[in-house]
Amino acid sequence: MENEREANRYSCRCLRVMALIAALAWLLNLLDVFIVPPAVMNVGMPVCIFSFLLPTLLSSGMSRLGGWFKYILMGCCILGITVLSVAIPKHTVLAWVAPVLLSCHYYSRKLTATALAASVVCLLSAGIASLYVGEGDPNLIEVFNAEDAVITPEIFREAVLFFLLPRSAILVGMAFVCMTVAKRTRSLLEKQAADSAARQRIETELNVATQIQADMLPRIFPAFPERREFDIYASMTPAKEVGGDFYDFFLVDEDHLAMVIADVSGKGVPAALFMVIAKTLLKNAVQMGSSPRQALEKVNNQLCENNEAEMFVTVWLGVYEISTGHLTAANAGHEYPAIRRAGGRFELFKEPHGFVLAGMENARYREYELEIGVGDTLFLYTDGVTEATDGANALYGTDRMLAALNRNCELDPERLLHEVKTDLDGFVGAAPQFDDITMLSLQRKSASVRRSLQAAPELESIPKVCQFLEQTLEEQGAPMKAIAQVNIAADEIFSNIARYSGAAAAQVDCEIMAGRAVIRFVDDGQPYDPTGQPEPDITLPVEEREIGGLGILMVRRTMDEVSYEYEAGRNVLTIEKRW
Amino acid sequence: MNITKTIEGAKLTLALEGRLDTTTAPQLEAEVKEALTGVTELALDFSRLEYLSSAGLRVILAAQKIMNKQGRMVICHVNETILEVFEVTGFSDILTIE
Repeated sequence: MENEREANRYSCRCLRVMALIAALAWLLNLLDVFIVPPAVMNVGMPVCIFSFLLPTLLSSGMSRLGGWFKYILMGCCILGITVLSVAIPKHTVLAWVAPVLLSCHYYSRKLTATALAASVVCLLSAGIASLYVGEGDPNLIEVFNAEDAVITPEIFREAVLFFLLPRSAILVGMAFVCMTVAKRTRSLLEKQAADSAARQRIETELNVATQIQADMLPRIFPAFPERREFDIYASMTPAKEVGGDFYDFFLVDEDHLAMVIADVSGKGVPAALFMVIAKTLLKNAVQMGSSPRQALEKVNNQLCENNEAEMFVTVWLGVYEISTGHLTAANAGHEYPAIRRAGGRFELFKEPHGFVLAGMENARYREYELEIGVGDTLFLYTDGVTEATDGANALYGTDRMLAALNRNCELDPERLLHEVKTDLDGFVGAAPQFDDITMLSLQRKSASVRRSLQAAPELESIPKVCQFLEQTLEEQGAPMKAIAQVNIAADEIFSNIARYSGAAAAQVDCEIMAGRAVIRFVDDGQPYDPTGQPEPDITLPVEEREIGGLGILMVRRTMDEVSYEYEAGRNVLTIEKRW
Repeated sequence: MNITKTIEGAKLTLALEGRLDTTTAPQLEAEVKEALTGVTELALDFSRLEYLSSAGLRVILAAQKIMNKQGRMVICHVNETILEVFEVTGFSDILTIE
């Protein structure tokens, strides 16, 4: 159907060209360049041009005419040529092939056969008609010496037998030539359509593969929301649909975090397949309790087996002890990590390097140890970062990377990686990305501090509670404003407990983690949920203002989280303040 | 909390120092009750006040209601934490803060 519409459009265009040629012939005849009797031309040419242009005029209604349009088109074409043939038969012999030729574009045997039959009938009729009217065919006239222009039955018979019938036969032959050529075009088109479908299927499969690969990497952040002692973030931007870079991190046990960053040689599907094997083997080895060195040696030998494709992978593997910050790592031909000591600047850590994995059987790797202090940040990357190029083929390089890291060294891992990527993107500009860009960053944070205070549930305890919170917060470096707000909140909450709860005992727990404090007020009084009370109207004029409910409103508005629970006979009100 | 009192004719200035919370609010309440007779202008100087809680707000609201009847009340030199408390509780709409 698509082809038929297209063929209709092209056929209309061909007929317009033929109309133009006919118009030109007419014009030249009027200028006495040709010597056809003007009477014949002045009648024949307009009819002929009109026939050729009619399909174009009808084409706006093409959709309504449906499949019939092509027959109308052929009809117009044949009619036009018939008129031409009557008027100037000797010049139009070749034009007879036009309807058959055009019909071949529709790849419809029926249409071509119809066009051929109509053409033959019209050719014969036009040939006979041209004996009596029009310019006449000099071939016929000369051969039969019909200078007196009287067509005897003898001449007529000869003309039909020796000229018109052979011409018709030639036309039938030409139709077969056209059909053969069209058949070949059609088979090419069909092959192309099949190829395109196959390509589309492969593309879809590649997209699925990309998705599977992306899903393999831990991508949910924060990855360990319950672990306050460290912060980890990683990202991978593949260059092609599927890439060879990967990162990984997972808890080996409660106190050990394994981190991997790796780059498989090559790109695309082969690299992705190899990546999957390498990632799985490494994770297995580490989870079975291998140290980084042992894991690299084991996985190296596993990857070397049947590595006919001669692929290899560079790997940095580290196991981090969460409670102490002790890092054990080994490097198989990967980039040097960058490390920043608290308050300092990022620098490359030039560690001992081993050979790439899957490069050589029984390769040995060296392990080294490193203490990560509170506030220190580790940054790992692949060569996609340092070897990214701008439009002028200049490398991004380690210096630019370190500069970008140091400009943003106070940020947490997520924002740090984001800033480095932004800087890298700014450098690269519109130049294409050749390699996967993968980064991972780990930051050790201060471990949480937990303190409790028992306080008698009476108003006199409030200064003690405030002092306790103030001291704990100050020691952990909370800003003044947060301390003041926590103090106000504690005053509100504890005075409520003292006044209304009827409790016999109360306790305040304060837990401080990096950048936030969680404070719990526990009392054994009557169940009372202050968070469930309606908010006071704070838009009333002064005379109608009430003070009730303002305290808890202030707590809600100045704290980041407020929640209430009644558990085991105790009211537990928890507030959280972040900074 | 320390309260410094200055009287100039019918104008009373109370400069607060420290914290205005549940424990200290009764102190200010007593002061206000006692000293407001005949005062047409009350100024609360918060320049050395660290913070206030809703107990403090209660006293301030009470003072504002009294002063609405007999003159005006202004609060000056309010720090950021306290200003936030006023805004959160809608007090900034009913107080004159300078």
